[in-house]
Amino acid sequence: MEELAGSNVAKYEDIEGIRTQNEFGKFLRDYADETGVHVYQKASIGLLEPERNTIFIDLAHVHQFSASLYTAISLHYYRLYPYICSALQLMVLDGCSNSDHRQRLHKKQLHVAFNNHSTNSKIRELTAESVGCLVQIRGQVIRTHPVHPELSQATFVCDECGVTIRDVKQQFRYTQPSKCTNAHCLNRVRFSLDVDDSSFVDFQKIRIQEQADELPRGSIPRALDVIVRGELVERVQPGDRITLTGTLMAIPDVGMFSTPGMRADPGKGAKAKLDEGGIGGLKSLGVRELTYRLSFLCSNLQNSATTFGGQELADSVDHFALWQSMTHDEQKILKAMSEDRDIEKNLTDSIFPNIYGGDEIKVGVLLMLFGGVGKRAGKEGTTLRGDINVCLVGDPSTAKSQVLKRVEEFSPRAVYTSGKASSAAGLTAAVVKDEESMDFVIEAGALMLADNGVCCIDEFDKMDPKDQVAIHEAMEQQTISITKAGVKATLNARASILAAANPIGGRYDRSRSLKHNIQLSAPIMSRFDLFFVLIDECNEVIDFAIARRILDNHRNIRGQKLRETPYPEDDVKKYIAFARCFKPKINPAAAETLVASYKKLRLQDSNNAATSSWRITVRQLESLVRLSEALARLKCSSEVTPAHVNRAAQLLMKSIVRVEQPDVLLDEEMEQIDEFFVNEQGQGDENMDTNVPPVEPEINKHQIDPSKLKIRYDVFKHIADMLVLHMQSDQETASSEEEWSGVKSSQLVEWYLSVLESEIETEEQYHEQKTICERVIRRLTADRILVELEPGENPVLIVHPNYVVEMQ
Amino acid sequence: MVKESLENTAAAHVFDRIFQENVDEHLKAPSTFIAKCRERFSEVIETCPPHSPSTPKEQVVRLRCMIQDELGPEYFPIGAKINGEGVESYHSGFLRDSWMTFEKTVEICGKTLARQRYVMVPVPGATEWWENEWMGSEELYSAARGPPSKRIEKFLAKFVVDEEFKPNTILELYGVFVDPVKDEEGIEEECHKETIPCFHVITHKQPEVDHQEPKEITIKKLNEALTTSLGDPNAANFLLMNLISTTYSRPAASLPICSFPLNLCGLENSKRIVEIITQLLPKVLHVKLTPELISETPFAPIKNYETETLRQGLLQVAPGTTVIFDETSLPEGNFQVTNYAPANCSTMEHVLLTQQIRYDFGYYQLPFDVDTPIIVISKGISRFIKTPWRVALPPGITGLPSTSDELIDFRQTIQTLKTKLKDISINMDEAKGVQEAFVELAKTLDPKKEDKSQTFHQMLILCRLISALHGKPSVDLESWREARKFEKERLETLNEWAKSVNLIV
Repeated sequence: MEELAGSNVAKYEDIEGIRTQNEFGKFLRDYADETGVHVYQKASIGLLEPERNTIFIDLAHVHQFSASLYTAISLHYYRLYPYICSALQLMVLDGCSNSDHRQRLHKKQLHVAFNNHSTNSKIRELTAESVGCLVQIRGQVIRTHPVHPELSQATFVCDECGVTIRDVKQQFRYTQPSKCTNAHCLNRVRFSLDVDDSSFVDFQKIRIQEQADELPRGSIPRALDVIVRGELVERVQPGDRITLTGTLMAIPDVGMFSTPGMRADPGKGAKAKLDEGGIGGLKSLGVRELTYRLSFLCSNLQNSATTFGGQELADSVDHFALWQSMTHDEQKILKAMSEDRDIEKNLTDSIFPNIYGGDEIKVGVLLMLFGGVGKRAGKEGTTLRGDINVCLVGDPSTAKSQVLKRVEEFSPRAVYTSGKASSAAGLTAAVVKDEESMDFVIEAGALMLADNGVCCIDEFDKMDPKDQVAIHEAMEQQTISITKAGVKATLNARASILAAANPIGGRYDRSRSLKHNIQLSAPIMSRFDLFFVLIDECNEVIDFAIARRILDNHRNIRGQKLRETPYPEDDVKKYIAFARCFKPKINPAAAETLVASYKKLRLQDSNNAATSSWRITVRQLESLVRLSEALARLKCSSEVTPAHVNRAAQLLMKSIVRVEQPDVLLDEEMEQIDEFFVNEQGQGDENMDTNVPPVEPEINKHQIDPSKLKIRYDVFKHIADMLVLHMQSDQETASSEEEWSGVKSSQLVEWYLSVLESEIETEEQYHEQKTICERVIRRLTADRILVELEPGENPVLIVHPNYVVEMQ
Repeated sequence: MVKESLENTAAAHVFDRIFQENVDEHLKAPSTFIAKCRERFSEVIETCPPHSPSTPKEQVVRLRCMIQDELGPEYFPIGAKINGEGVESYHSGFLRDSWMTFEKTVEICGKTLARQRYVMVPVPGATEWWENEWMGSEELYSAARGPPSKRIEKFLAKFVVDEEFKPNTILELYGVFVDPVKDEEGIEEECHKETIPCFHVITHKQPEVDHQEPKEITIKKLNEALTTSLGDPNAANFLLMNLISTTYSRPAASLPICSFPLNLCGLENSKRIVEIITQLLPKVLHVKLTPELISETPFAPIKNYETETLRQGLLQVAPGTTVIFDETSLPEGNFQVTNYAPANCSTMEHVLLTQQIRYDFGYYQLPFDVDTPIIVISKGISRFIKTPWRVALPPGITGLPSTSDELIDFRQTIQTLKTKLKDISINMDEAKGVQEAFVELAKTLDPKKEDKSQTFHQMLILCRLISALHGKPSVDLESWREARKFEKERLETLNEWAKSVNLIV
């Protein structure tokens, strides 16, 4: 029981308190961690220094040492606290030999700060039942008050006889001793405080509020006052997210502490206030509030940013250390996820449950969330970025904005902005004049706010080209430099950028390459690792699927059931946060695969130099490295294997192919127009000797739908490959027997049609396929993949010896 | 005998007396004590008057108000023994904020209980007829009539309940007002720096909705009445559908179901139409947009950390309130705005398209789901928001030609239709037909101008509302066809009107 200043009631010893004191003393002296070091004994020596007065104790160690001590402290913290502090004091005094120090120590009040309690509570769950128990809560600081000293042990001098009364403990209120210790003195009220001899401790009040992610939906966050003392003051600023360990206590009304038999003293200001009446006068009439407020007395506090629960992790957290800090359940879940073979598909389904199709895009965005490994060259300090940037181009109504919005909802640090609505300064950073101090200050833009997160930029192409330039630096160097109005700064902008753009003219024109469809400059395009083109297929299948999805939404009215996802969102977030700690290294085999893939890409690029709009440069090699690392992280492996590299190459090539190769037009008309030109030129030019005879356009005996003659690139490639492979295998079997003199074009077409026999059902289709095959052959000849040995109507063809078919 | 004593003595003293009947038992089981007290008061509660400034202080009164802010719990002792001048008596801690302790000592006995504290405000947008219903028809209270904002101000309500209420809920409270005690000696943890009146709640109720099957004939009459007032049957249909719309489901990234925001175009003067709407609905918030309003009044609530209060936003209303954005008072052309204007414009657009309002808590913005059907009234088309459904009204609107009995029927019907909206089903066979019809439609849509999935989604909302209008329990192909017809007519009228005033829609 606390010593009430000079009460007449007989003191009684708190047996439990004394026992705890002894046990705690034993703990401090004897506890040694795994390496055999007596941590707390060592730490207590540090307390001899004048500014230090708090020792930090990990509750897990207490639990290890003695479960009963742990339970006692947890349940009766407030009551046992003075005993714990005296145990600490005794131990420090014992360990100190210097008499000067000992004297100082007598005056100093030592505190114990506990942290790492096993369970987290929510602010909402704290009730009157938890008063006095040790709990751990999380919150966000909204206000801090200035620090001021609080009287902890006061020394009074009796006004009448001059005797000094020491060590009067204070209980949040200025408490005078109730009688003089001098047995002969009858003074009860006139004492004065000896400031020099009293001991003070730093005191700060802060106010915290529930965090947004802990709130039940639709509720207003609650706030709590927190009292912070000793070394813990001034550790936090408004806006910080912190974890606190401590106990609830009621703000006492002094009257409540009166023991039976004592009068409640109305106080000195009584007379003056009587005239006021109403509220002011009531108090003096002896009206006392009967309600309590609860306040939180803090034992220890720390920033949540470094704990696993808070979703922001500093870059350099080691994954092993993180693994240790997790609870058993969390570990189980993450382990299961990392061993899941379909982890890619399951993760994309969990993150995008409501978006239909576009699987590659989902995988691309998923890899962006994992990110590659950022590297820093030691001596020179050059950094290689680890963030992956993705760009989505496509027709309206293809869920581009939905993907962006979903990523913004899902990512812990994400900013969504529209290219049209922002200027360069809004995206990067602006220099503004502060109203109060008349200084220029930097206001963060979207890219800065999304530091270590994702910045979703919609309508990227509608941004002013001048503004697009401002983003260059942020994308590649990951910093933003400002030199304006006397403010020079380089700020971090390590965000991944997810951009969405609309094609020029509203709809993506498949017959032209990406460069012609989008209004982005080449430097910006090269800074994106992945480009995805979304085409709105005008076909019934997709329409039906859309209709079905919307009808489902309208029908799921009772208790809006969310779509079942393989993993709940929280688990996915934890998994991503955990996986990001890995720094996979590239093993030699993977390195070779990387080199091989890069070479292949470069070769392909040089084939179509004229139409290439996206040069394969070293940037693409870096992208390949980043994508492979992201894939390795996805599987929580610490090594990048060739399998990862191949998958990354596949993804990159799919995105290039879409970008590079538009649809192939196998229409006769194009050729007709060319010939027409030649014709007119020939006739108009009198100096020409020879008249180029107009070539008769082929009479299409069968009406073939010209739209069917426009085939997609991959279909074209497929047919081309089939034909070439057939010819090559023929050549091999034939070369062993006789001179192989090539294949006639008509024979080739016949062979092709025979292969497709099972698929052709109508005559129309037959003619279609025939024409397509003929045109493909003609195109291949024009591209010099097939060579005409004997030109003419029905040429004899062989495959160009230098041509190699890539197996994709 | 009981009634008399209850009326003449303070409610807190009655509680004390009940407490004294069996102190020990009540200390051990406070819930039985509370139940007993509530029962004792039940008769009084049936007949107590609504609150007004002229009501005497200790009178048990009833109030209908909305929760605006949540303060945390406070703790109070169940009972105490007070000794003074040799007299000992037991008192309960209920319905009190303070003990009278002059020349007395106070000894707390028993546990402490928690009281939840909520800041209550008068219901925003409460219409006259709805308030009159609450006030009751007795002449006794006629002196106290007036708009709710004159009768009640913001006050702090203290409940002893286990459940938590969500903000913006409307509650009917029965209890007493108590003088607040301000502690001058500097216990600084005053969360509420302003002193507002303190109300202790004895019991509370949530307002009930009458659930009767809507009669088809009433719906028809209502439709006819609206047609007569507005002059255009299709416009009447659309207005009626907006009146019965409500938001109950939110699929990702599209208009919430079944929200039906309307833009009524071509109105010079909004007085008549607002009158019609307020006659039919219980809660209507009429926001007359002016440059001053847009600049100076925040639409979304903002937390002020200095005073620890949540400043009430203009659009912080109870679910089911219809919000009318009235653009007819805006000056022509451009006008200057300051301050809150950009935030307000974005709040307006956001609440119309996604039925959410973001409360500003400084360090983060919390989205709150709302259920507020919205009507935008403008001379041309709305300058702030692109509304999914724009209806051009012919000039010359007249008042509703209905008797007050008919009006009562209409009001009830509208409320019942609202609650029944989510029960309308879409069964599988009909769904197929609708799906195929949509695919046919999709072929004719120009992807450059229209988003197919949005169009289908909006058509389905329209179908649901049409089925409700006909009293049908499900959506079928017939509803789809009617929906197409309504839309066609609406677009024709809109285009004609736009041509006549030289606008592009």
